Amino acid sequence: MKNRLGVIQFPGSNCEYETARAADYSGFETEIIRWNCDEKKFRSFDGYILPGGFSFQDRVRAGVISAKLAVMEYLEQAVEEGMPVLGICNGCQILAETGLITDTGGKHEIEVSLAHNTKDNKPFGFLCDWVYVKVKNPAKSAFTRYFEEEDVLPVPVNHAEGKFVLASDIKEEVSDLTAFTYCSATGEKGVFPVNPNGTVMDIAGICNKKGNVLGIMPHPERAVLLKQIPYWIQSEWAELKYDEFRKGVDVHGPWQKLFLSLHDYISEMKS
Amino acid sequence: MNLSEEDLKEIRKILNREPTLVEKHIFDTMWSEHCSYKSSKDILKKYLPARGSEVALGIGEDSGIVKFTRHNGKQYCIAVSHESHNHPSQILPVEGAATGVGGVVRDVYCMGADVIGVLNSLHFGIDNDGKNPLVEEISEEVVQGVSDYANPLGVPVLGGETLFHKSYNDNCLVNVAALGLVEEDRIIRSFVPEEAKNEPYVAVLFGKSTDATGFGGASFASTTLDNEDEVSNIGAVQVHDPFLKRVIVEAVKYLLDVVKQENIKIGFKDLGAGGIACVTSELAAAGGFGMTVDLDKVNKIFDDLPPEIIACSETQERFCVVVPATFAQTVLDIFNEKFELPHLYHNSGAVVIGDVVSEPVYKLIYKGEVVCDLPVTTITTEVKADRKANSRQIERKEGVIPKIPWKELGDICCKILSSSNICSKRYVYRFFDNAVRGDTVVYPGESDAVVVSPVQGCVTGLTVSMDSNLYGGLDPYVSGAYAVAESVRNIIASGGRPLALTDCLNYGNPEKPDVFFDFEEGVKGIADAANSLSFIPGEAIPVISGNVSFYNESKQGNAIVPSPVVVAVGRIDDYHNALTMQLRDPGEILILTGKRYSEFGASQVKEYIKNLNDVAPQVRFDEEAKQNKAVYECIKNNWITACHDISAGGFWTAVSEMVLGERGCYKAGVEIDFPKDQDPVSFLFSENGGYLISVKTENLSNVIENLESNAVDFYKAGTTNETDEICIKQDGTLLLNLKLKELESNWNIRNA
Repeated sequence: MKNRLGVIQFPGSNCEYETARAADYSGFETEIIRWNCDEKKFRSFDGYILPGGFSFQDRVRAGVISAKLAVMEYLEQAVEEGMPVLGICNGCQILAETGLITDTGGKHEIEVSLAHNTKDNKPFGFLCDWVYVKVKNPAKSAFTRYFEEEDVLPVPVNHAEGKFVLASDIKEEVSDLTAFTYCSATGEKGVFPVNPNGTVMDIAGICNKKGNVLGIMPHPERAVLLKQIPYWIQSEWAELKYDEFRKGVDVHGPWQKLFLSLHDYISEMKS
Repeated sequence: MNLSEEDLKEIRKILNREPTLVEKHIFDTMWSEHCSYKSSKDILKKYLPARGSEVALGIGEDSGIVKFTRHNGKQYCIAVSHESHNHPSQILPVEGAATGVGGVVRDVYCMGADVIGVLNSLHFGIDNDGKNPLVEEISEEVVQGVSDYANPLGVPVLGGETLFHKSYNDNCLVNVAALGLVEEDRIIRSFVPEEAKNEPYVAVLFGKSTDATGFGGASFASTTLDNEDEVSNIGAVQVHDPFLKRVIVEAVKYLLDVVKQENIKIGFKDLGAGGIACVTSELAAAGGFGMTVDLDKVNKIFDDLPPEIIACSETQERFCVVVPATFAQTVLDIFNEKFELPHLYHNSGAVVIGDVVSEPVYKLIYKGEVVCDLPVTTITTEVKADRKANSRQIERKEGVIPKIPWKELGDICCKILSSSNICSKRYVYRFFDNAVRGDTVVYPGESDAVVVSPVQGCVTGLTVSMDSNLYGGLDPYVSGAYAVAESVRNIIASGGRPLALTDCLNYGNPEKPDVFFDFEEGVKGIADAANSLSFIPGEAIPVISGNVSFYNESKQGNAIVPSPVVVAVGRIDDYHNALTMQLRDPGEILILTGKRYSEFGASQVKEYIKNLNDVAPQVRFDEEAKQNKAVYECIKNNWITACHDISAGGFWTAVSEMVLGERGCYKAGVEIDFPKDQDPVSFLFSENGGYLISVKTENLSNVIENLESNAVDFYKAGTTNETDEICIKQDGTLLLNLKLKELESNWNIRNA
């Protein structure tokens, strides 16, 4: 039987379909489940993805209201049992508001939050662009084991509230939990547009202490196939698209490894 | 209300009595220019080609639908709707632009299609001297409005355009088009089905709870803007809720799956202008039925709304579906229970509001009393307004070109790249999600058109472009013809062939004969281009949907430049063949197709050179068609590595953009050489249609053979190299040397 993933559709999610396709492309059997589904249905999966979108219209603060839904209690239970959970963009914001990332205290308390994008400390609204991230601590999480430390990957960002803000008492532990940091095409640190939202310590994605929960603000599901990569970016992946497309060939993109890592983790968990 | 005394007389004659207040409001909406097309209908019918072998559903419903591709035994189609939201965006830019997107996507959803992208054409004023501070604010807020709607809804913005001209200072234009994907056998029609003769049918209203927003919106859009009416103008603008819409759309998908599985016949339409009264009467009338609607059953934001507001307000995010009475509970459960609408927004959800009746009578009940009782046909009657056109002389003879020193031309080359109409628009489109749904293959700015792969597992690419120009003030015919020609060129340059067109025709007050002449000429231009540029022998490119927006002028007396906006939808047989514009490698040959003429009316270079003529760049359909076929074949055969059409800013702008690519990260330099007998101003800046293509030497003979066999006028204009400059020679003599670094920073001027 295939490994099964549940993609949770919150009111206002809008990336659930391509997220499910990206997982299916990487060998999963994926189902989109509604926020109000019952516990039995909810618990019939091997792992979960919280997709991007604008759940509850980002009222109050992105992710806050979804974090209070009944279904999140089932999710917290699944996390306790070691099941992997991936939150992308709005999903990442929801995980932060639920206390599932970074959870250094083990009590699901809110330790990180996603604030408005800033440039020179001034908010500037929504940003749609491609950026680059560097892989950190690949052995740490369920989602990064197939990557190499310091790999540089192109990825799209589409958000208005993507700036990680950390509770002061977790700052020391954070570098071990960071999964991805923003960098230039050649891997260097930098200010905007390299760091596209003013996030602390260039954090783009961060996991919990146990490594089974990852929240990531960029959209890996939009870079799973080579066709999704823009031609203009400064990356070997753009060159590859140009060459392969001339031959009429479609292959995977840079982020399939994230889903393959997850697949591997689940297979291991189940055996 | 804008009902004229004449209209009222006509109504009294039809009814043989005084209309009630509710009835007056209904007529005010339904007989408005916006809803009735009373000034434009005859002209549109007379000229525009609407038919074609690939049309699945032509003009007449909320969207037109064209066949796109077959895959796994299914016929996939593309539904397109194209609307304007100009007046609302001028008054309340965020809400106006946002509801512009919200309205046009509803037109696509209600055909049973899933929206896969939107495009926007934004025309803003120019605040040169600080006299129009609002202009800047409006442009920023319109962009925010589009972004505030499309991003949360989860539909990618697949391109568009941003134009600046002083004639838009008091009237910005916000035109939006939406594209949807639908399987042919799942297209839903907008009328009560004939099954309603045999079993009881009811009308179910679903979505946001009805409030007083957007009351009088249609008639507000059908008059000249008057600043003194500020309060009622603001009330006429609708309020958007893309979050709620997103949930509703998911529920609609669920509903349509059940409808398909259980083979239930339904009618489906969105609520736009005229609200409940308009949607229910049109659903009934189009099916040959009548309808009785109980306004007390409508779910409202609060009690005590007067009947005319319940009936006619333009509250957003609502749809109406007519279903068998026995199926109604299933519909209610989907929206109210499964998707919990009542929990997400106060009093929102689905309710049964009316019954379909066999006699063609439209009745509204309020607190037990009949407040409207009309023969349905009176509401949807063809109202007509006879408009006169006043023709004028249009200059079309090529003029003499002044001689400009080379140094000055070099300065112009640099400056024009930083001008508001030519510079990179990334500062606008960075607000728009262009990748949600995960199907974008060629992104905005990478090619002349955006390419997506909407059918999963299928290699057919959909390519789309939205275009207009500023030539209409001088030559209204050219502005229509050029918009179509440019849109089609953009489709070709990305590797596709045209499937269908839509248009949105933005003009001033049609009661003025000068304006009406411009309108008629614009339609003729669109029609002639559509008739000339099809790839299917004996057919035109069908115009499958459209919109007319009149009264784009203010009481202050400023009317816009006639602005027809066109969308072209195209098909690439295999998206791996899609082509971008950036020059990547040295040693390639640049070929320019299409003759350059000395026609500079309303061209971008006019600002920099005095005494250029006022002849708008003419569209020579025969030359365009030959080039289109040749370039299409060359791309299909993989013979060229980059392609860009020639339009605003001419050859110079095209070659610069090919060097700079989407971001300004150049990879190759260029050496241009043009012939002795060619005048440099026309060569560099003439905006006559054409293409610039880049060819590797091994494919050169194939390309040339193809261009010759298609009788295309072409010229080897230069080569790519490893330098970081564009140098320009005439007949071998070096004249200009421009550094790419400087060109790049000028072009990226607004992206800081």
